[in-house]
Amino acid sequence: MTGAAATISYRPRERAEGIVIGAHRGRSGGGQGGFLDQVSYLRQPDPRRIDLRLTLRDPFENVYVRRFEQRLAIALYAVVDLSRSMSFEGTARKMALVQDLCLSLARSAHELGDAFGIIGCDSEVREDFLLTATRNRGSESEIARRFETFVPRRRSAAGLAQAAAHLAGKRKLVFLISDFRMPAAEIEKSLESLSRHDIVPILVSDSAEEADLPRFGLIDVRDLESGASKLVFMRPALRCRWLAEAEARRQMLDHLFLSYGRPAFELKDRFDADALSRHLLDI
Amino acid sequence: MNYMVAHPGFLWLLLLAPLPWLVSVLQPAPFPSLDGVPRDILSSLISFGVKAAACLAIVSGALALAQPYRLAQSVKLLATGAHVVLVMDRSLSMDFSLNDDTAQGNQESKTQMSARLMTDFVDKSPHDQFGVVAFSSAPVFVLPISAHREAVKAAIMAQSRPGIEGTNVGLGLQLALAMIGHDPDATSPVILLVSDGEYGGAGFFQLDLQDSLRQTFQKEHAHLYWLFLRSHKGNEDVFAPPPEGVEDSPHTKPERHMDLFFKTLGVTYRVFWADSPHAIEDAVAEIDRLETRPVNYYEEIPRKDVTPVFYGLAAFTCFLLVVAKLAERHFRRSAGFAGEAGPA
Repeated sequence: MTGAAATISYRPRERAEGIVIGAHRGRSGGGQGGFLDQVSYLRQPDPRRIDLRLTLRDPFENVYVRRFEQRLAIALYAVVDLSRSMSFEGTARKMALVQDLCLSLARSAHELGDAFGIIGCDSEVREDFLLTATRNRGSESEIARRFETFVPRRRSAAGLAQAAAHLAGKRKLVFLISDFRMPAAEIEKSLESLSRHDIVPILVSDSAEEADLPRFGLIDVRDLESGASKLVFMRPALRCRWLAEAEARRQMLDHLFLSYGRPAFELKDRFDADALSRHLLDI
Repeated sequence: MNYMVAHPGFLWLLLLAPLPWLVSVLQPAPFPSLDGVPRDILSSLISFGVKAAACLAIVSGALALAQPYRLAQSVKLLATGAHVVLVMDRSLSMDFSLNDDTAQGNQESKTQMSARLMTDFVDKSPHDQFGVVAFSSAPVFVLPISAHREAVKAAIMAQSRPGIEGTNVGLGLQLALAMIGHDPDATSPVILLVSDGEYGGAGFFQLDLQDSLRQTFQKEHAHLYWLFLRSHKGNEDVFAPPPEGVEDSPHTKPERHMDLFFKTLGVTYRVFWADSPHAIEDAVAEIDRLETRPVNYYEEIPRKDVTPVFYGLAAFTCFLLVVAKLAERHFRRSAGFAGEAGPA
């Protein structure tokens, strides 16, 4: 697919930490990189970086040291909801969309020298879908292979809240990919567990769920997760209510996501790399 | 209401009846979560309706295959009418015409006339029940009280044969009363005596027979009507007292003394002087009008095949299901599905 080749641009919300040299502005000033500022020698006692010009110019005869901003690499993680609701097929297959997104993220990360990993979750973290962040470009084909052979089976996405245990250490850019059909409390729990990271919620949706609903007819709706069935007599009035309820839920989700940093990016029908770039760069 | 089926083996198919509640009639449309589907009462009702229609289609289809029918039965109904015992005179005199001539050409004998009139009477009284007793010298038990019109009419027609010597009204009445007494359903008994009276009757009612008749009539509360088949001869009135100097006894005026005896019975009694065919019909109509006591009668309802009802029901419910099926929609777009358009 065309989406798989596209790369995205992204920028972590805060300065990166770590030691691996990369493309993102680091938090700590180091000896290399772009000039950041000058600080008192007492703050950074590094005689190799003494700024002679400023030291001599200072009437109070303080000694100043130049600081440089080290550009660092970060790690990207995709925390993917692999519960059965993600097997929905409407205008597109949700799992195919997620695969496209993950491949694009992997490629983009590796182009910038960042690491990319995937944590697949259903009712718990799936050990067979756990790819530790790596800068190894060969991992992309492995990701594709995992997605192609995987069939979502479990009926819960509770594992999203346990993913944080696999994300210890430095601050990471975490893409939380799900359809967010679980109760709000459960979503908040996983957001809270991931809150020390830079969370990018990706809401996987489909226009067949909302805008393209039939105007008239009988639909035997079967819940992909619980297997329960419910007959719906579609008609314009009910369609309006359906859309209104979906809109209300969307607003509730936006409110929830914003309180954890970023609004959700809606991955709808097709993967648009440019739209995701604009979303991530806040353009 | 008793129903039976012709082929009970098909009733095993009724085990399939809960199937619509276990398996959806429509093709399921997978959706991520039912939480996103608004609650809707109309949808719930239609859902129940579709399931019920499918269940009904199975049930009625299975029943139709089993070919149910309603058993033949008799229904007890209440109507106004009477239990009429026709006491028919079979004496020789009945073979003559009304004018006491030998029936010639197309002239009707009294026997034929009484048979025809009684048949009409049976036809005109839909809720009456009839018994038939014939008598000449001795009474003949012909038919017990019954609602079978054909049998009654056949019994009446069987009397249109040449008569037998003798007239014994008393024994005929006694047998008729016995017939009433033996039928517990005969709640409003009527005795219709069809006779042309006594010709030269000799001691027709013994005293003990008179007492017995009187008691039985009172016990059974039987109404008595006498269809007197005789034409007026000159100005002679057989019921009137004889002129002065002529002996007034059962031997000389038997009809007058029969009439007098019947009047002492203490029950409803009327004599209809049938001196012409027209007068006889009036008399029958009058009897019909007088007898308006409530009477129970049984109506026979024949066995009825109710299979078409079930086939109709099955067809109707199947039609509903077809409508539901035609209204079926899915979320998945059949055309331009991205995942199957080309190689991934």
